[in-house]
Amino acid sequence: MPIAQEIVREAHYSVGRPDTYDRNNVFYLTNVQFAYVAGVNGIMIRERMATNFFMGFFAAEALLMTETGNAVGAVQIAGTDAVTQIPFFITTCQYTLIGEELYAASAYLNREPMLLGNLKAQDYFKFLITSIVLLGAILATFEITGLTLLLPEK
Amino acid sequence: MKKTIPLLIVILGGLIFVAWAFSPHYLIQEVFYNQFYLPWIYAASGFAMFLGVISLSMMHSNKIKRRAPKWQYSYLFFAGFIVTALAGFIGGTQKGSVLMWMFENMQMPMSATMFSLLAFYMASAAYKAFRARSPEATVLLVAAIVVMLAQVPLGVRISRHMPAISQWILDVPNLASKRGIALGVGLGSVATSLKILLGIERSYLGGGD
Repeated sequence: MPIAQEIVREAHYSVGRPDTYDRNNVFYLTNVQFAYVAGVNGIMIRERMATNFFMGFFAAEALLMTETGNAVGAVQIAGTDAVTQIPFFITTCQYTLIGEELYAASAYLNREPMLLGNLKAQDYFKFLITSIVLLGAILATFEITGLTLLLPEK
Repeated sequence: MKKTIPLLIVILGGLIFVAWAFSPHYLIQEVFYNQFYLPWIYAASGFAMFLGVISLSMMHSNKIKRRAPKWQYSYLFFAGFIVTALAGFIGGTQKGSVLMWMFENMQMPMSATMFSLLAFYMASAAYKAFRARSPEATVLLVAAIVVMLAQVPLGVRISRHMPAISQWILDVPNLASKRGIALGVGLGSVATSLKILLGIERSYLGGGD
């Protein structure tokens, strides 16, 4: 809780609006999935949200919240690494960060060299992994299984 | 100093869990995880819940004090909280107690109601997604129709190849894109974890010195 409050406070300070920060706006709701949905949806409808950000891991609650956001006319931006929820977010939100884009968002927004370097390293690793996958597929096609056996599943 | 100690705790805690994930050693798996970490986490989770309850109570009492819009609902929170807590403290949590009755006859049906709403929301989302406004949306529409028809007897009546086509859609293009996303997510989460472990990402520590 204090970490979440600190992150929001830091965001308000960094854009030069410390006066708009109210720590009571960052609060615990519940750890029960659908009770949480009921709470969030109630807040959305009562307060007539203008913008919703859905960032992180989501399960069945995703669509329930985004459809309600849609119904109140909010602009919605989502980002998730939960593959099963991505279609729902794409359908109901104006912008969706798909999978790894969620992790790249901070680098994209503040353009810090350290974070951009991190993204570049991820791309190189992706290239490396894809090359190994392709090489493994080609070798396995010719029944050369050395590389496949070198990288066991578990 | 205000940042250094929390940062060291995060780095040390992170490194211990990296060791736990990768090492099968008795010391880390049994002594650290089962004998030390799990009992502590059970003890600490009660305090975490207590913090959550304080946070929620403060938010609702502030709403009542400030006469914020719809502040009357905040009394419902306090009423629900007090009644549930009393039922638990006085009647216990065993089967047949008032608390369990409230759980089975109030909370469960309400959760089930919320979950069942998902079916209607899915229909509405599907309508939005399946409007063939572009070539990509048309491909999506056709693929969805094939996969859905293959799940019901009518699909097999239309064509006996329907289940095989549906399975191919799920196993090849669908799985390929899912694995592509999973690959990116895996690398992204490793990079983010490393940023936190190495102290590059510190926004959770706040802005003070």
